[in-house]
Amino acid sequence: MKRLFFLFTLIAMSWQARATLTIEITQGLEGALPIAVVPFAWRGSAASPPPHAVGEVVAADLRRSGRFKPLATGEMLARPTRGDEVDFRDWRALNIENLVIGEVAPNGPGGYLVKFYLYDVFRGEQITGYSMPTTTRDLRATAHHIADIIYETLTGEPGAFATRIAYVTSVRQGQDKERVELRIADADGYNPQTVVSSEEPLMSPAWSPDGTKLAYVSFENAQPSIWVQEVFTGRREKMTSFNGINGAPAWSPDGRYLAMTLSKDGNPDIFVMDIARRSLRPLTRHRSIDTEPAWAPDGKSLIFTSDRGGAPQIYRVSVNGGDATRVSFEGGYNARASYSPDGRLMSMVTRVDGQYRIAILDTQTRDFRVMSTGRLDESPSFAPNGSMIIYATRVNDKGVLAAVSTDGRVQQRLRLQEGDVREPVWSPHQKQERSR
Amino acid sequence: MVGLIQSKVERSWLRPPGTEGLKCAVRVRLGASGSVLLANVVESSGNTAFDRSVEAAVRKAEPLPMPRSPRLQAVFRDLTFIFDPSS
Repeated sequence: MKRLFFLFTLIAMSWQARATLTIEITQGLEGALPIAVVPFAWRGSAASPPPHAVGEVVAADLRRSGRFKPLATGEMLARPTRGDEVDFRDWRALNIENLVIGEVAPNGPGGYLVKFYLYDVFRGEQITGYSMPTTTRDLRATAHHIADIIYETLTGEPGAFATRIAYVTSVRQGQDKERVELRIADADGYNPQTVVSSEEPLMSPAWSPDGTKLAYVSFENAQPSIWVQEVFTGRREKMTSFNGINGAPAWSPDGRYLAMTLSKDGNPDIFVMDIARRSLRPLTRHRSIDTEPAWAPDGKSLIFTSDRGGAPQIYRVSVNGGDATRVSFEGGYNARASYSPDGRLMSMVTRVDGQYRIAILDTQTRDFRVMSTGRLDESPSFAPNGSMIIYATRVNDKGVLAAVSTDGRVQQRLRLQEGDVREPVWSPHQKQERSR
Repeated sequence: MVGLIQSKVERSWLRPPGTEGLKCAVRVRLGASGSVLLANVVESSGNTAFDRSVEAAVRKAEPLPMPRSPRLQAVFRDLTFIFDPSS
C-alpha cells in the first residue's frame, strides 16, 4: 500500500506542470537511421544450415528503403545472438541507435522457429521481440515480415517488404522464338513464379486492390485482349477483345471497375468497365491518343497520358468524365503516371536530354524530381506504403528491375532475373500472420 | 551553459529525412554529473521516427555539460528541449 502511494505521488509529480529551463534545438544532421542487424545464429546442426541468411535479408530490406543505414557486419565490435550477450556500450561507441539480434532454430521436419529482438541502444531497452514459426519455403517471407515489424516500430508507418511484384519477362528460345511470361516475385526480386506463359506478347499487368487478381493484356490468337486472372487458382476470364487496341487495364480502388484503353471507335480513348455488369462507358473522347489510365486513391478522378497538346503529357479527368486538366508541365514528354498511396505524389516517365527516366511530381508543392539515371527507364510503381518506387531499367541491353527510395537517397538494382524484364508493378499490402 | 548543452545535443541529432516542418518537445531530467536520467517526448510531432530521433539525440549527448555551482545545477537538472528544425 505504501509503495503504491509512493508510486502515485511520483506519477502526480511528473505530471505537474513546472516551469523548466527550455532549450531550442534547430540544427541536426539529416540522415538515415543507423541500425545494426547482427547475423542470426543457427541453433541446429552445422551440416544442415537454413537456406537463407535471415539477418542479411532483413538488413538488405531496411537498406533498400532509404530510411535505415545498417552497419556492415565487419564493423561490429560484437556479434550477440541472445539478449544476455548484448552489451549496449559496444553499439553506443559506434553511434548505432537500434540493434537487432536473432536466431533460427530447427522446428520439426522442414520447419524453423525464428526469434528476433529489437533494442533501443541509448535507452538500453528491448523495444520488441517476436518468435515466428516458419518453413523452408517461407523463410525469406518471414525475414521480410521481420523487416516490416522493425520498419513499423521505428518509423510508425507500415513496412512493405513482405509484398510482391508482378512483371513481364521474355526469354529467347532458339532462333526467332520467344517465351513471354507474367511472373510474380517477392518485393526484393526473389522467388519468381510464373503466372502466365505465352509465345505471344503479354503486357500491362495490374493488381486488384485486394492483391488476389491480376489484369493484363495478352496477344494470344493474334488479337489483343484484356484478361483477369486469379493469382492463386490460375482461373481466368476474358474481359474485352474489341477490334484494335485493348490495353492498359487499371483497377479502381474499390475493385469494382477497370479503366482501360480501347480504340474500338477508331481512336484510342479511356473507357471504364463495370466488372460485374460488363458494361462500358467512355471517359475521354478526343481525337488524340489517350492511354495509360491510373486512378486517384479516392477513386474520384483518374490521370492518363495524352498527346492532345502535341506531345505526351499527364492529364486528370473526373471519374464522371468531362474536361481533362493538364497536370504535368516539366519537359516535353511525360507518360505512364500513377499516384502514391496517399495521393500526394505522382510517379511518371519523363524525358531528360533524350533519356527516359523516372520522375516524381509533388502535387501540392509542384516540385518535380528526376529519380533515376538510366536511358530507357520505364513503368514506375509505388510500394503500397509509398516508401519506394520500383521500375524497369536497361543494363547491357536487357531489362532489369530497379528500386529507388521515394526520397531519392537509395538506388538499387534488384536481383538479376532471367530474361528481359519489363513492366514491374508492386502489389498491395498482403495479409500476414504474426505471433509475438 | 545553455549554448554548450545546445551544441552538444545538436551534434548528436540525426534527423530523419523529410521531417523539416516537424516540431516536438522533450522533457529531460539530468543527474548531477550530466547523466540523462529521463528523456521523454511530452509534445509529440505526430511522427514516430522524428520523436524517436530527438530522444536518442538527448541520450547520445550524455553526459551533458553541467554548471559547477550546486544552486545552478538544480536549475539545469530539469530541462525542456524544443526540437524545431524550421526555426
